[in-house]
Amino acid sequence: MFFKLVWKEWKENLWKLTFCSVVSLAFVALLLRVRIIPDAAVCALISIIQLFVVPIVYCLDIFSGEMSNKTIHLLFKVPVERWKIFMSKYLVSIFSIALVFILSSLLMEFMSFGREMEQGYMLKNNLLNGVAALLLFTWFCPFACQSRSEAGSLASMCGVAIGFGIIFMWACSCKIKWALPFVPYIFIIKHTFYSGFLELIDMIKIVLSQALSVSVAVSIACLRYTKIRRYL
Amino acid sequence: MRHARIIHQQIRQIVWQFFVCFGLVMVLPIEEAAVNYRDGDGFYSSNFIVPAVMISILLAGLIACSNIQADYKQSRYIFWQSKPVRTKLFIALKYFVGLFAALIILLCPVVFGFITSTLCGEEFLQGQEKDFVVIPIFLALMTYSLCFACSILIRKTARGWLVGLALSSLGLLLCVLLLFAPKESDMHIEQYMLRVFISVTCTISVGAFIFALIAGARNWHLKTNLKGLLWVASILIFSLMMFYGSQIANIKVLDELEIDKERMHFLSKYIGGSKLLDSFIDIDNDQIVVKPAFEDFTVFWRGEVRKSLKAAYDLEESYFVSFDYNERISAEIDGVEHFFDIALCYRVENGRCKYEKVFLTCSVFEGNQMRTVSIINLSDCLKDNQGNIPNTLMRQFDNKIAVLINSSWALIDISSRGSIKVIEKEINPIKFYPLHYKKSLNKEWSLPLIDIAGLSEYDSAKLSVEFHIKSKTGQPYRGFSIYDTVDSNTGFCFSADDLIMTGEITRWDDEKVYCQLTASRPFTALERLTGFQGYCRIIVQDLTLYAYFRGELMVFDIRTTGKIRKLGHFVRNRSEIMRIEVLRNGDILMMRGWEDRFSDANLDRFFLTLLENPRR
Repeated sequence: MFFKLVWKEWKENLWKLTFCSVVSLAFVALLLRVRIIPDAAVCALISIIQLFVVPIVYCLDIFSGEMSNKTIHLLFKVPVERWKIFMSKYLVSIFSIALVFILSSLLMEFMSFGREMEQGYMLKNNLLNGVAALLLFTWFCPFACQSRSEAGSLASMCGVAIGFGIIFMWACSCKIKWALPFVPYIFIIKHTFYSGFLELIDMIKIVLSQALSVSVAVSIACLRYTKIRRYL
Repeated sequence: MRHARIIHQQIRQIVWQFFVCFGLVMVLPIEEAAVNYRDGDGFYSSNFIVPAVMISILLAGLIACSNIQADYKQSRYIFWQSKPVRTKLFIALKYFVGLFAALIILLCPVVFGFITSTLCGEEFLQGQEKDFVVIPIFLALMTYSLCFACSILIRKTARGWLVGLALSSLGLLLCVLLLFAPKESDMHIEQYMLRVFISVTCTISVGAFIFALIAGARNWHLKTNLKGLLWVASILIFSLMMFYGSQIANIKVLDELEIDKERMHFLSKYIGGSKLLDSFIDIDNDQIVVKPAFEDFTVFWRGEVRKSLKAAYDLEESYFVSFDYNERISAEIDGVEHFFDIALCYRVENGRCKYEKVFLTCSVFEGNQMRTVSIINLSDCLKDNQGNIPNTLMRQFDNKIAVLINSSWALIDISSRGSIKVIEKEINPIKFYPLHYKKSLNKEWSLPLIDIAGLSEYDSAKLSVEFHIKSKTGQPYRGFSIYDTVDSNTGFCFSADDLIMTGEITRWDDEKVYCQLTASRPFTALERLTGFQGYCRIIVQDLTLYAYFRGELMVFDIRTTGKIRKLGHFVRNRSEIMRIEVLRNGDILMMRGWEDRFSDANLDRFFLTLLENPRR
């Protein structure tokens, strides 16, 4: 039954994958073809836009859509645990977001091959932003899973994105080093400013912190989604 | 229903949104103030006011949408449509209450920053209040009004907000385009820009407000779906970018080759066009190929000329020497290539460059070193110069070089190897006529002939036109080129602040040269947006005009008298085009440097770029 749910979500959200992929690839192709700005700037620009837009497009109506269309009543009558319903939505979104970033990274690398930047730069940079996008999406879920409208989802997503920005700036300006690895945006600056390979200890620290924060976010989201009845 | 009651109801309705937005906006300044206080600098905020103000512009739109939704969601609007208040009045009051809240939210961080900075004796916004306070207020007004109108029409908060933001981005783009295409006026440019910006944003805001009133009164409702909106927005942005790209980046790159700095310096400054292609570079099947001579050649030290100059004339260490390499003349004398440069020497006084000496240098290559073999002091030509950068021009006529500096000229003999001498020199004989080039289109006008003994009248006429126009367009390094037109007349073209013009020398007599400007081509707003300016270099070959400035190259067709038609445009941001060479088939070999801010090395890199003939 779980796989049927995954298949349902996949079909329902296929247009988002198509939309994000087509738009990302079109903009990558256009900007790397005209080359008004340097390749690395194109990569940074598209990565940053994708980082916010793709998770928002996915999260905007994946939970609230079921409520505003009232299909959540039908969905909850399916004989399967609610956390599995949540996980089917979550996994499909994660897979699709990753796919969008992989496709755009490959196109970036292919089009900029042998040009200004060293080999693998565009791939690495965009994929790191992809990881940040996945983390951001994961953090959107606990706040958006009980939203009954797109507006609610959007407001909660803006809150999360700006909130992490504030935490990030705070952590940087107050030199609170332990907070930095928990912020999804760490992957952007790790590549843009330091630009070399991540140091191993730093890398392990970031991976462990992010794994911890992701599991917390997913657990909260699951819990909130299972308690959704009282809001219906 | 009294107005006060409606206002009271609206305030009650908006109060929680106000506090949420207020909290979001104030977090950053308070955070900064706390950090400053912890560091012992005092409790003040300055740097984070700008991001807080930017966030409040987005929140202004959100306030507009949520304000509308409180009374328009589901079927609540039917209540307001029917009674107990006129819909237009109700919407107008709603608009102004929300706008007031949005502006208070925007001003909160500014007031907080101003008060805390003043109390702590710190500088607030470093005198840029206009950029960070006045402009955001009008941006917030536009965003608020558009989101308000969209929200009434669409009746979905999220979609109304997104569409409103998209429209205000387009409004901002319109402002930028208008700012880059200024009309001629006596107004100061900053004042002009502010007026354009304020009038555009206010017009859009008033339009959106009126539209919202009508849409509300007539109960207009645009049904949308998320998928359709996203696709339409993406296609719109993509089309705009495609249009932009097709307008300003349409010359095809055939090949690109990276070369090192020293070789690029050598190629771009010391090798003539034919020699470049005969000895160093080959183009094979649209590919750049370097010849063995290029690989083998060793580099020279380019500081040598400056050193020789300073030693020969015993110049103090405080003098700096600058060369205009584009004015360089290279001539072969007895089989040896000689390079002639005008060296301008200046000192820095009170932060201002003061030009005091000028020399003509003659240099040759000896092994891998550039050595100055002869120098002539022409500093007396700077008589009456107030230390400003002098207007200079140098042109070769057989074995003579005419040098023009401000209103003086000198004719130099270059016939003997390794030695140059002054044949004749006159101080301050050149007169300048006023030239209003924009008003002189298609009219004959005259300028004084610079009578240089030893040069033909035709050569003197050409030199006079070039020197006069270069001097009168305000910048000595402005682009100018002389060419033969289709009708075998002598044509010329030059760049001014915001345009390129072509003209013809119609006739000349003992005292005057008569010219006519035949066509002008102003730079479009899109071209100016990328930073193209009239300080460009100009080359004319086969009646095709190549103008380049920083990282941009524009190609124009000037075959038809009275018409300048754009053929192509090449842009590379953060590049510097050092030189271009037009090949026989019309392809362009470009030498450009690129500021690499992304790699670990953070070094400048240099490329030879082969561009396709734009006429192809």
